[in-house]
Amino acid sequence: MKIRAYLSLFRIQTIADLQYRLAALAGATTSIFWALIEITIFTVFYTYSDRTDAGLQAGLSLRQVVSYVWLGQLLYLMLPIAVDSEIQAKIESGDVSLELVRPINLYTHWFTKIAARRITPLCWRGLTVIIAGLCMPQAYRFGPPASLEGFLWTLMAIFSALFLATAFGCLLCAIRLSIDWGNGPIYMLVLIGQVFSGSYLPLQLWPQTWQRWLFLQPFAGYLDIPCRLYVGSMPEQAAAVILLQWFWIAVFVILGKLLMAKQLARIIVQGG
Amino acid sequence: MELITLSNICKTFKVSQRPQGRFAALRGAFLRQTKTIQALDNVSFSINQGELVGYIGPNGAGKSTTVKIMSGILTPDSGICRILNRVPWQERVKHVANIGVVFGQRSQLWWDVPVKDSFDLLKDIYNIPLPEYSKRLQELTETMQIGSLLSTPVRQLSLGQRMRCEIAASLLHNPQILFLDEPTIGLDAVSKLALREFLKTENKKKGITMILTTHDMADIEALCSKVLVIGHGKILFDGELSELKQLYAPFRCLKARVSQHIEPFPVPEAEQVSFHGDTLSVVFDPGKVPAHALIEYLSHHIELNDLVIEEQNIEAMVAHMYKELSL
Amino acid sequence: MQSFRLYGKYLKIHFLSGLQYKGWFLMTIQVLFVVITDPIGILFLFSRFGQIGVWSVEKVILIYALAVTSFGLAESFVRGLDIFPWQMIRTGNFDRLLLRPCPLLLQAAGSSFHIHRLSRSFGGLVAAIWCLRLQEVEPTLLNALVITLALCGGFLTYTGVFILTSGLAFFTIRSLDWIYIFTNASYQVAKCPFDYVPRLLRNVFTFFMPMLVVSYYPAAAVCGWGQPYWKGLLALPAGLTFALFAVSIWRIGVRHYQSTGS
Repeated sequence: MKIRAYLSLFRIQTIADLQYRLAALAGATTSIFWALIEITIFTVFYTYSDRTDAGLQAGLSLRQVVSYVWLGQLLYLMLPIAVDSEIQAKIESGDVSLELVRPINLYTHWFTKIAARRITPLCWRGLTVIIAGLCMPQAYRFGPPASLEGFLWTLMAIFSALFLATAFGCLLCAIRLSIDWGNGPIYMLVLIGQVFSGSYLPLQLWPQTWQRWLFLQPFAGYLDIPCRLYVGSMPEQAAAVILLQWFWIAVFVILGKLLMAKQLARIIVQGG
Repeated sequence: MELITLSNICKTFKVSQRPQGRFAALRGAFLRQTKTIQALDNVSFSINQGELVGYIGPNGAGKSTTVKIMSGILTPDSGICRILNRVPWQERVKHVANIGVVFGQRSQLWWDVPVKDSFDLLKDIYNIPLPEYSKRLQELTETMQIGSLLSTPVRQLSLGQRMRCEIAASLLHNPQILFLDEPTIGLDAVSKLALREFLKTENKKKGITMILTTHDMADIEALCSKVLVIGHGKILFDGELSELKQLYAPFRCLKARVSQHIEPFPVPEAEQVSFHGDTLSVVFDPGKVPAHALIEYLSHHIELNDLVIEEQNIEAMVAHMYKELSL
Repeated sequence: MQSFRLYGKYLKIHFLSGLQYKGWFLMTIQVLFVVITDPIGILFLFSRFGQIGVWSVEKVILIYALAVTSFGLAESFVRGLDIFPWQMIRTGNFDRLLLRPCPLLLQAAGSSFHIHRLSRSFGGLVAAIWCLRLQEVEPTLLNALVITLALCGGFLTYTGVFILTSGLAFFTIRSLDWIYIFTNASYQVAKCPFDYVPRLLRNVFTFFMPMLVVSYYPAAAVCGWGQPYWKGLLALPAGLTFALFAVSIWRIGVRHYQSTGS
C-alpha cells in the first residue's frame, strides 16, 4: 500500500514538473553547460599542460574523466543542498511539535520525504543530462561503463549513495533542529560534503598524499565511489567500498536519530 | 467635481488551461491552450470629490481588476479612465503620488523592522518634506492610537494593530484618493468599529475620496453613501444605498411581543406572518401598507406590549440580489 | 540624487533588520568558505599538471577573481533583482511597487540585500591583488584605473543579468533556471585559459554577456599579455551596454505585466 501511495506522489510531482513547460529541461541546461566547461578544462590540461601524463599516473585517462564528469553531474543532483525546505519551514515556525501528534516515527517520516525529494530531480533533469551526454560529439561523449560487472556494482553504489545522501539530509535536519544560528553552519556542512564528494574534482586528481584519507571519508560515497566504479578506476575493491558506504550510512543514521531524540525530548518538556 | 471618471473600460484576460485526455500533462508541457475571460465589460461610472463609495460584488466579478486599473497597476484593453485629470497607467509616478491603497490581505510595511522605520522609509519614497511629515505622523498617531506600536517590529503586531498601521502608512503622504481592498477582513468587532469611525472622520475632515471593496455589508452600511455593484464584469447598480435597499429589500419586519398566546391570524397586505414563542413577526412592504396602519390594525386584534420595526438584514439583501441577478 | 538617497535608506533598513538576525556573522563566514573552496579544483589541477604553455595558475586565477569580485558586488547590492521573480511576482507583491512614486528598478533592487555576500568580493579582490603582485604588475595610476573600471563594468554586467532575469520572469517563472549559466556558472568559464576557450563560448561571453570583457581584457592590459591596452578600458562601456539591453527587456516585461496582470 505504501508503495502505491509513493508512486502516486511521484506521479503528481512529475506532472507538476512537466506542466511548467519543461522546467526540467531548463534546469538541465545548467548541468550540461557545467559539464561541458569542466570537460573543456580537463581536455586542456590533458593535452597542453607541462605534464600531460600526470592524469594517467593518477589512474584516470581523459576518456575516464569525461564519463566521470557526466555521471558526476547526475549524482550531484542527488546531494542535499540545504535542509529540506518543507521541514525547514516547520522548524522555523515551531510546528515541529505538531508533527509529533502523528502516530509515526518522525525520523522515518523525514527520511522517506527527503529520499523522495532526492530521487525526483534524478528522473527528469538527470535523465536529460545523461541523454545529452550520450549525444555529444566524440570528445565530449559520456562513454560506456568499463565492464558489465563494473556497471552492476555502479548501480549498487548509486543506490547506496541515495541512502547516504538521505541519511546526511536527515542529519542536517536534526542539526538545524538543535541549533538556532540560522542556516550558516548547515550550508557549510553541505559544502564540505560537496567538496569532498569529488564533484569539484575527481578525488584521484587531488594531492597524492591525501589519497588514503580522501578514500575513507564519508562523502566519497556520494559521488566519487559510484563514478570510479563506472569508469573502472577501482576494479578490485568493489564490494569493500559498498560496505564502506553502508558503514557511513549507519553512522549518519545513528547520529541523526540520537540528536533528534534528544532535541524532541527537550521540545516536549518545554512545550515547543 | 468629478474626481474619477471611467467610461467603457474593457479588460480581458487569457487563462491557460490544461488539455484534457490522454497524455494531457505531456501535451500541456509543449502547447498551451488559453481561454479568454472578459473581466470588465464596458464599465463606466464617476465618483465625486469627497464621496465614500462602496464597491461590492461576488468573488471574481471584477472588483479588484477595476481597482487595479484605477490605481495604475493594470492597463485596460479599451476605454477611458481619468483620475485627477490623469490617465493612471500613462503617468504612473505622478498618479500614484496622489493615491493611497490598502490591501487587507497584504502588508506594505517592512516585516522585520519597527513600524516607525517603515514610516520613515515611506517618507523618502513619497518625498514628503520633514515638517509636513512630522505633523501628519503626529496627527495619525493620535487618531489611530498607534503611538505605542511605533517601535514594535511589524511581525509582532496583531492583525488589528497592523491594519491601523497600514492605514496610517497609506495616508502619510496626504493622498486625495484612498482605495481600500477588504480592509476589515479578519478583524474583531472592536477593531472594525474603530476603523470605520476613523475612515469616516478622515473622509469628513480632509475630504479624502474613498473607494472601499468589501464583503462585509456592515462596512457599507456604516460608511458608504454611494454603492456600485458589479457582476460578470458589468456595473449592475450605481446609486445611493437607500435606493439599492428600495430595489432589493423593500420590506420591513415588525416584531411585537404579545402577552397572551394567540393563534396565527391573517393580516391584510402583509407578506408573511409568523410566531416564535411570544414574538409575532410581520413582514410588510411600506409602499403597500404604511406602518401606522399596520400597527393600528394589530392593536385592534391583540395586546401589544412592545414593538420594533426592522429593516431587512443587508447580508440577506445582497445574497438575494446576487441571486436575482444570477451572479 | 533623490533615488540614490532612497536606495541608501533601503540599504539601511535591510542592514538593521539583518543585524537582528543572530546568524549573520556565520553567513558571512559561510560565503567566504564558498569563495575559498570554489577554485580548489583548478588549483589542484595546476599543481598536478603544471603550467599550460604560457598559462600559469596566477594568470587564470586573476581573470577568475576579477569576475568573481564583480559578481559579488552585484550580488550584495542589487540582490533584490535576483530574488525578485520569486519574492515579488509570484506573490503579487509587485503591485505594491507599482503603487509607489519611484522608479521600479530601484524599488526592486532595494527589496532585498545580502550584504554578507560582500565576502565573495572580498575574497575575489584579495586573490586578484595576490595574482597581480605575483606577476609584478606596476601599481601605476592607469593600471589601478583599469582594474577599477573593470570592476564597475563587471558590476554593471552582473546587475544586467539580474535585471534580465527579473524582466524575463514577467513572462515565465518556472523555466528560468538556465539564467544560472550567466550568473554562478559564467565565471567557471574563466577557469579555462583564454586561448583554449571554445570559440562559441568566447563569443557569447564577449559579445552577448561581456564576462570576458570585464575580466580577461583588463587583466591582459595591466599584465601585458599582448592584447592592445585600450581593450582593457572597454569593460565599463560593455557592462553599461549590456545593462541597458537588460533594462529594455525589463521594460517590456513590466508592460506585459500591466496588460496581463498575471
